[in-house]
Amino acid sequence: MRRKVIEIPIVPFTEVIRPKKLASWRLVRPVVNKETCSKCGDCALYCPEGVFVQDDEGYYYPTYDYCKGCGVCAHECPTGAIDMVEEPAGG
Amino acid sequence: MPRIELMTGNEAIAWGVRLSRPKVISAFPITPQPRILEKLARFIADGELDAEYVNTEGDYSMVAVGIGSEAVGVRTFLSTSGQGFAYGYENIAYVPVLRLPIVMAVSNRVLATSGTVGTDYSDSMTGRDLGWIQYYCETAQEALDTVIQAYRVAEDPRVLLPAMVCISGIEPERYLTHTAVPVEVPDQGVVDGYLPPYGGAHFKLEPERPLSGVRLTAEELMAMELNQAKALERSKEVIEEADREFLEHFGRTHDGLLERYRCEGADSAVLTMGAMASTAREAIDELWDRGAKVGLIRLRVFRPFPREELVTLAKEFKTIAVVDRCLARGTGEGAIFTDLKAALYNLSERPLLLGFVAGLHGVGVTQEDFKTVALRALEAEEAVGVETIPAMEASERPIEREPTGRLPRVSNSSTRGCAGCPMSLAFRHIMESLGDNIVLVVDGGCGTPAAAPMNFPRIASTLPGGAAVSTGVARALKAKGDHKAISVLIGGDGGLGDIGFQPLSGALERNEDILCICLDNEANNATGFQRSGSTPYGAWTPITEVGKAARGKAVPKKNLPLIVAAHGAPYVATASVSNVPDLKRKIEEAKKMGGFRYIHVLTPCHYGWGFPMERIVEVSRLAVETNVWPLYRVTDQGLRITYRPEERVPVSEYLRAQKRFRHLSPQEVGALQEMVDRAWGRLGVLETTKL
Repeated sequence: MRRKVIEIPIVPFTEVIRPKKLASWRLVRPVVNKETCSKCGDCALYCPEGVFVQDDEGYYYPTYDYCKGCGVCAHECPTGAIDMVEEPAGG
Repeated sequence: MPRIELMTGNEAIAWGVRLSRPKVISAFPITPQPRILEKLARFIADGELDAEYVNTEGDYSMVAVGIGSEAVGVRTFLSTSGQGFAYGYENIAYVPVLRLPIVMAVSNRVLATSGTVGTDYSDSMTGRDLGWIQYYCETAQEALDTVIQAYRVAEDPRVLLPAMVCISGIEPERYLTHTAVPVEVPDQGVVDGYLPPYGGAHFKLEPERPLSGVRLTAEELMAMELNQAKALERSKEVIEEADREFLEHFGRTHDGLLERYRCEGADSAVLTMGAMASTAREAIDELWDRGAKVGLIRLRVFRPFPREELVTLAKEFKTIAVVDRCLARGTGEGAIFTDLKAALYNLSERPLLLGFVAGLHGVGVTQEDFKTVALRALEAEEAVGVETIPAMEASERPIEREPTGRLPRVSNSSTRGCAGCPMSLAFRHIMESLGDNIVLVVDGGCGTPAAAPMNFPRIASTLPGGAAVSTGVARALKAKGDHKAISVLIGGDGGLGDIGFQPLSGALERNEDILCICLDNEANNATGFQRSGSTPYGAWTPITEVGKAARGKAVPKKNLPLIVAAHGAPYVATASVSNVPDLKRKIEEAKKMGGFRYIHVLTPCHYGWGFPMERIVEVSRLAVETNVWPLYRVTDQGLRITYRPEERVPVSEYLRAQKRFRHLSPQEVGALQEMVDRAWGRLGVLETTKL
């Protein structure tokens, strides 16, 4: 029999953290409308994955690499500035 | 007339149980077994099975309940898997000593606590020498039928020993617990004719005829153990007889102790056990078609070990290749292989034995693997060392180190949690507030996937063990003179409040230097939302079913934060993912103190509770605004409510948002409103009480 050779650390621990990108789970993506965004930051506060970051003008936008499309941001946005847009989003 | 139904191996076990009419079912969920519990809860809710259903707080109690109920003379059913088996072990070992004929299903899972849910027999194998009968089933039909047979054998006055019915779980080739196949469900009347009612055979705890325990000498105890062993030997003929009579009643057999398949005229044989035998069977069929004469010996019963049958059988073969699904570490081989060698050793002429250790941790064992094994058996000239399937050479390499220095503590990454997981949300804010200098223990529930990959010193504990592992961390930090680093424990309501309550209470009583955060999703969600002590009154869960005979959970939620406070912990607080600044402030406060600090965070699980995923914050907010989940803090200054809803929202609005409460009647909603009002009133009293 051909033997598989598997090298493995003594215990399942590592110091090297590899980010996971689970954007493929997403069916709809949040898109922020700057015209109605009040920069309150609730989207960033309540996003379970912590994907929102602020741009130079203080507007929030999601990092799509990590967003799973749950829609909590759009649901919590007090000004309704976030639309959940079907994937693949235009461009 | 018997009918055919589509069902999984777990559900087949549940059907076997229903038809055997036990009067007590003791339950605790552990993957991959919960479907057994859920199906039984459904039968009871629908009025199709009349039994006491005990939702215990852990596997230890799950087994112990069975000791009590069987001792009163009532037929009892238990079930477990993997680590649950290990946690219940002390009681599992006690059952045969009392000669209680309990039947326990084991949905086999590797006995490892690194989050693996794959199958191998390392759980039930640890119990092989305790005096239990052990059946290992190949198919769902056999699982159903074996439960019925097992009760009959176990309760037979010649035996009076407990029996395990083992079915293999998660692996890619044969997924017996979860694959749905057509199964014939026998008529209740036929089962009743085969399995007589049980009234407790040898001793009963009954007030009319008081029997009480006596202390024996060592010699007497030794003699008693030898009697147990004799009874286990005697069970062989009873197992064979029960299977023969099963054939008469039901028209099918499962080959008693062991099955010989295409052994006639075979030069060699493959010997294996459990669902893998189906894969082996297919391989052997193909080999016969190609002219290779290899038979299959399927062990159905591993304990008692069918020594005599194997001795007789072994003489027919040149070589027997044994495929075990466990590794007895320290011997380098599997348990069947060891036992078979021992059984054949004193024969003057005996076959050559080849040993294979296969499919550990749920690695798939394929037809190709069995073909290779069978051909090896045909070609073998001499014994060689035990080999693994897949053929594998394992070696160690150093633990991976980060070459570029320390990474940001909370990394940019998706979590492994569900989309919209409130625990992921809580985790992120908690980790940000905790800062850099912590050693983190996370118990083995949903919390493990809900956390993003983070560059923290972090270890997973067993589900019950969190508070004790954190104690060890805290004491070691102290012993090293590190007074800055915080020992942090993050666990769930099931882990901390139920199965791990004993270690939690111990750490609290010792006032260990631990910052503990409980993420409460009001059920055991990692196994599939089965109720916990934290599940509220009236809530549906898969094991607190709703039907004509049941209305969801019949008792209220355990008030864990106040129980923790009653231990005299220096800091106790509640929090919610809807009130993040409040949560963060409480972590800051707790960080500044010493001793056991406890923060209990409500994290509504959309999938388990039944509401759209985008509403996790809204539902959390409703819990707070309705006073279902009051926010407060308890310190040596007393209890302070930290948030008062401006306008009290009726509880019905909170309930209406969730499917788990959909069945509640207006009266039940009223009862819940009353419970909430009373609890809020009590908090008010506590707040105004001068210490």
